Amino acid sequence: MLASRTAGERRLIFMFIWVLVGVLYFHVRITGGLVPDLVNRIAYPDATSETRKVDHVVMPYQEARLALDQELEQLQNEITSDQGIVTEMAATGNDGQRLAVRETENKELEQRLTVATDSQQRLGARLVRKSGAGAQVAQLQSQIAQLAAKTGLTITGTQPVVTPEALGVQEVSASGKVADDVTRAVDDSPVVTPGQVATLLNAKTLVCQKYSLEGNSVMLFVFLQQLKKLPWDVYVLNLDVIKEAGTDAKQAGSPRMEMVLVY
Amino acid sequence: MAVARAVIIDDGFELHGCLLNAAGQVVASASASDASDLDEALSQLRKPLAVAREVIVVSAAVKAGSVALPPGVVGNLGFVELNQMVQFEMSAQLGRDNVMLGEIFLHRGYLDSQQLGTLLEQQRASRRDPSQGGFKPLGALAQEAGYLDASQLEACLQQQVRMNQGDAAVIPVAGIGQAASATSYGNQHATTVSLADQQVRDQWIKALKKNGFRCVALVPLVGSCAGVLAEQFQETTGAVIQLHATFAGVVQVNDGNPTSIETISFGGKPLDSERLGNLLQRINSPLKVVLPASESLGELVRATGEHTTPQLHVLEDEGGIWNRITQASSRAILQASRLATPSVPLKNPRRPITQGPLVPWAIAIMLLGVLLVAGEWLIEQRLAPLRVKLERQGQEHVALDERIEEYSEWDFAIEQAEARRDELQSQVLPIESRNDLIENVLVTRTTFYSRFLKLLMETVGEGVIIDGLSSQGGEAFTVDVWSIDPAQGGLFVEEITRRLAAEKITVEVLSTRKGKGKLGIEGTELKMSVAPEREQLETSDQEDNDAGK
Repeated sequence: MLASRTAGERRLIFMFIWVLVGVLYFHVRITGGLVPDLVNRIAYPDATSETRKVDHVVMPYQEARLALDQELEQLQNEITSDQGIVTEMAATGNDGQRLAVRETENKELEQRLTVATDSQQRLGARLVRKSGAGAQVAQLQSQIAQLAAKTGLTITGTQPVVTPEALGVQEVSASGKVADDVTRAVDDSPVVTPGQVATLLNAKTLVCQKYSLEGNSVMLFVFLQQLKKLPWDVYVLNLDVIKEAGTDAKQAGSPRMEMVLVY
Repeated sequence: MAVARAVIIDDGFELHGCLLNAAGQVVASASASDASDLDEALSQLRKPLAVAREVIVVSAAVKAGSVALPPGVVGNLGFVELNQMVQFEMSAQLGRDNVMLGEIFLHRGYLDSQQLGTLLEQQRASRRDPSQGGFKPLGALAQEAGYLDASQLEACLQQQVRMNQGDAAVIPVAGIGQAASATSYGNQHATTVSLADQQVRDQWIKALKKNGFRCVALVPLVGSCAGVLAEQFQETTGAVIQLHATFAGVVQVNDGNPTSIETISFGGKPLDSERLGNLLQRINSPLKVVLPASESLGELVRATGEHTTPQLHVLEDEGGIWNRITQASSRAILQASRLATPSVPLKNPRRPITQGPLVPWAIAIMLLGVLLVAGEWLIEQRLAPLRVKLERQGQEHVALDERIEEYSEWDFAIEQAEARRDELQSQVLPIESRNDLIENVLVTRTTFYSRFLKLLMETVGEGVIIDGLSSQGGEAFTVDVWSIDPAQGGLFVEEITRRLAAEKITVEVLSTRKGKGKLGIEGTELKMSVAPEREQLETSDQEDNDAGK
């Protein structure tokens, strides 16, 4: 074709081809449009409009820049959102140090549970059995009655204690006022708090029984000493000794006693 | 079905067309008077030759020659180089004179050589004698003599102008015939070649195509009848002379090999018997065959008297030489005889890339590469900051995700630990509370009662009676004491206070009243409160209480 052309014509054709190549390159790589779209459609005929942006064959500059800008904006939004989440989570104080504290607490609690369970078994070993085939409560009560009779005391009545009011226990201070929150009795003091009373009354393994007695108050001391010799543990929760007024010494010397036993 | 073939002969002035049948016989002929306008001349021949599709062109514009090419050049030289070599070897034959107007008159048959000679003599006389009207052009003289009219003269003048407009810078294209074997003493025999200008060839091909023909061969006019020596005289040595009005073509054949092909131009001068006789005598050959192009040329040959010698034969055909050239050319193309002058290539071979103009293409490819590299570099430079930013933000995003995941793991683990703590506390606290109840309340309280009763009995002295003992709440105990003598009561209080202090229990006298006791005897009643000592709650204890809540 070029053989029959003059030198000027060849030069023009050459320049035209170069201009065409330049325009095509600019179109394909800079602006995009028909040709890249055609290449995309041929190379990925099944691609959707969304995936075509990603799985491109020829990504023109402007489309690439637009895609990068969008990606950056989306990423920035996600970063902002994540920073908010991190701030919120950090504000809760839940971190590795707190976790370590919790785990240490749990280990201590497990140790406490082990110790408490052992103590429970030890303390409960001499408690009278309350229910089941080997119930021993009646046997213990019988032995208490026999012991009272032996010590010259007369049991005038028994009554199970099921409410705190029956015990009349309330915290009072030394001045007679209800105890405040800033002081407490020293350790190993013979005190019982309303909370402990509640625990006692709710404990199924303990029975709280109120005994009304009559007799010599000195023998009451003997009676209490003899209780320790029973095969089961019997505890004295409360004791009231009231000497009634009388016209003579004999009448006045016979006190009325009320005793709350726990076993 | 054999395809009809036509031969178009171009003697430089006119076109002669002949139509051949399948047997090679001329069945029709036509001519066009002006070969300088090729398209016009072929359009005149198109109708008479319409049956034919393939055309053999025999042209005077194609030069014939016999050259001794160096061994091996035909297979090794490139197309252009071989053409240039053939052109160089034939340079002596390619000198071209301008076409004279008289030559055109002769070819067109307006006058013969003798009449042309007369006119030229008149022209010379007019130049010498201005009194006869001054110098007169040859055309004017011929018109005055009545050989042609004004329109014919105008056509001849236009033809002369066109024929003399030839391009000096020709691009040669050469056809190479069969090379003969070397002689017994080692010399290379000459090879028959044809040479034409590529522009002339392309004009012929284009004009034929335009008129519905297809060119199958383009052969030189000179030498086209060389085969007559063997065909008609059964000789392998001799000379074949094609005699035309303005030139003569001489082919020397020796032992069946063409040793020389020469075109002798008459230089525009009219050919007379003397000049022709000298020409025929100068040709040294044992057999001379003359083919005159016209009857007048045949008569001129006979006028030389050379035809009387046994060495010279004149072959005259009715209607001129054209039918013979037609048949000879057709046979030569079909048989590819060694005596036939070859056709020039009708199409240039594709130029090897190594012989092509490499530098412009290399520069073009380099420029293209530079353009692509520069464009891609520019694009990359524009996109690089965005990619770097994207990567940096991606890393930040990943780090945040990892922190979120870490916090989530901590949250989950702490939640699990706290659930476990609550579960353990729900198990531990009741047990500990019950254990504490038994160990620190019931045991302590039971022991205290025994000890307290014993202490009261040991402390109470003469004149002092314990009237009552009761628990006041869970912490304090109330003791009612009666004594006859207040001093005895005071001693009792002091003693009991001292003894209980060792056990961190305090005694407080709540009231003192004089009166009759429960026995009805006057004395002093004391109401005492016995309670354990108290201490301030420590801060940690308060926090523990709070946490317990």
